Amino acid sequence: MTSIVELNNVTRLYGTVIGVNDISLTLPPGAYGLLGPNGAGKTTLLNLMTGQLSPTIGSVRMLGHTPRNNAKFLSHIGYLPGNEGLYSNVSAIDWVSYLAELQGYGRHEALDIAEEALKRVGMTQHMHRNIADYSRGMRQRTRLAQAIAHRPQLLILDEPFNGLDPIARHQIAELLRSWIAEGHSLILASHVLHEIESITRSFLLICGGRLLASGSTDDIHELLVDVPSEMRIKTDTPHRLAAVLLEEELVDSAGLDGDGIVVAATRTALKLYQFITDSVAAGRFEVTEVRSADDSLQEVFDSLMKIHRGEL
Amino acid sequence: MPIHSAGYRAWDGRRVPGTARLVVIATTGIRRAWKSAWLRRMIFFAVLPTVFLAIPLFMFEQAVRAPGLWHDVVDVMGSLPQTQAIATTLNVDLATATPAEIQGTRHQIWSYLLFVLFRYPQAMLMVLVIGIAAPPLISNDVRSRAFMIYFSRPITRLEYILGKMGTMVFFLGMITTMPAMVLYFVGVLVSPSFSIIAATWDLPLRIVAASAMLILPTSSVALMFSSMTSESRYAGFAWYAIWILGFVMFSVVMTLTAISVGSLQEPGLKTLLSPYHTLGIVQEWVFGLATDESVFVPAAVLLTFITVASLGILYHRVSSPMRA
Repeated sequence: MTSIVELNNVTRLYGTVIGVNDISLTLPPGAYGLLGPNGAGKTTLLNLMTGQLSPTIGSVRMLGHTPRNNAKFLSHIGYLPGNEGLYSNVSAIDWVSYLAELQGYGRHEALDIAEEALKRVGMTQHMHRNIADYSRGMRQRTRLAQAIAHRPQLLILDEPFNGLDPIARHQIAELLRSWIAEGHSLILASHVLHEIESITRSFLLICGGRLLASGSTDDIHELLVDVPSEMRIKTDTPHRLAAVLLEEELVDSAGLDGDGIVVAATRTALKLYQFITDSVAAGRFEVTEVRSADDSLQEVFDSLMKIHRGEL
Repeated sequence: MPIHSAGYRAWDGRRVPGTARLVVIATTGIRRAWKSAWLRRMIFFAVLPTVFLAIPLFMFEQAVRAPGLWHDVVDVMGSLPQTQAIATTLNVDLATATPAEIQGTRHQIWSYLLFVLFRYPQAMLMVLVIGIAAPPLISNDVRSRAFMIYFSRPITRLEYILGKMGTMVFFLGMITTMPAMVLYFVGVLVSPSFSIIAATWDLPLRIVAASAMLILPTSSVALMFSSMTSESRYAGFAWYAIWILGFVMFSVVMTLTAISVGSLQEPGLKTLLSPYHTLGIVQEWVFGLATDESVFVPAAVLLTFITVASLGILYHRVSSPMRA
């Protein structure tokens, strides 16, 4: 099966600023979350994937095509850019049908599929009003509608949840999940980690223009087995607990953070959990809180960032 | 019981070819610009000069049958501008003229009336129409960053530019080519027979050429301005400024020259200071009313250069959405 994305040593420079730095990547069809902080290079990477930009070095192939100015490729993708991109003095139905016409649909077909897409994003009621009168969430739904209207094989979304209220976020997440379930491919860039997690387990982590990690969250957890993670343990005897943890060699370092909190860095988190559980059961310590974000993608993200910065 | 998928299904119908998509951009631009009441009024008023110039055309054709009317025709023509271009023609005596001379006179008179239509009312309207229609065409896309969405569609930068240009061609065609063609066909209808078409077959081609000479440079410059800003009003100011400043500069230079020499001089290459006068020179040549190439050639070269440079800048702006 043709890869949806094939990047070979792709670098994109803006003068002396590096947007994307030597990324090589091959993705089979599926759904992927592209994660990274602001300025990480997510949008640049998406622009390279959609052919809006050419790589300074390296090559990009999408769905087996070079994307730049490639009508055949562009007819197979739907793109929601991170910025506005809407005319204000037209209605959503006019705007989406116009863009569908640019995909090659006749006027009537374009109107039909635009109406269907707007229905799918919950904009049927408002689709004849001027976009200027829309809320930010309604604009975002309209923009999503233009991306899905022509039933693309690959949907590329840059921060699709921006401006959406919780209900709309849930609806759009549902829509994207059903999109994936129908066998379409999706690349979703965001820094809202839990929303990406709710849509896909596969992700790419990018920072400073570099691809830090790719795979599922489980893959990353495996990667992090030997990486120290920080835990905060609240107890009524913090000095004694810190001393025991160091004695038992369960932690690399331990410190106190006031209010009875022990801050411990460990490479053997599972052993530490087991020790605390056993100790509490045996009545050795009174532990009221153990905090670690190990189950969250955020923790993975933070840890990888620390590795990248050389802090771990 | 079979289970049917009620979800999205890929479109398996026919898609129109890529080149048709620039028509979509053009027609959408036309629809959006047409919302302007001022633009609609101008398109309506663009017909009026045709009606006005149809009067001397009709009178000339009547004078061909009744040569006694020829003096009236000459009087009416004398009230029109730049009649020195057809001074020899107006001295012909239709009563004694041979059929070949009448044909030659007709060709000159028709050409002159078409030239006047292009040179004066329609050129003024062109400036106003472009000033209304062109500025928002691309600047709106710059402001809303719609480039990203446009170019995630199967259209090229060139098709995008041609589509936008198509909008301008439509409106300018409506106020130049169409009225001129109407005037020509009015001439055919009021002439003694349809055989006149054989003697004037070149005039529709000259109309198309004159339209192209007018439309291409002006649309290119206007769209270039539009692509350089996210505020359409700035593009509009820039557009009007080049016409007004050019006209004023040309007038000032001509006046100063006349004062220093003591009499009005032929403008010569000073014409190139004013876009309006530069276009006039080219149109005069297209309609066969001027044969002096010493001014026409530099004027044509200048217009070509402006067109190419404007299109180059426009293409660069449109190709660089990340910088827009």
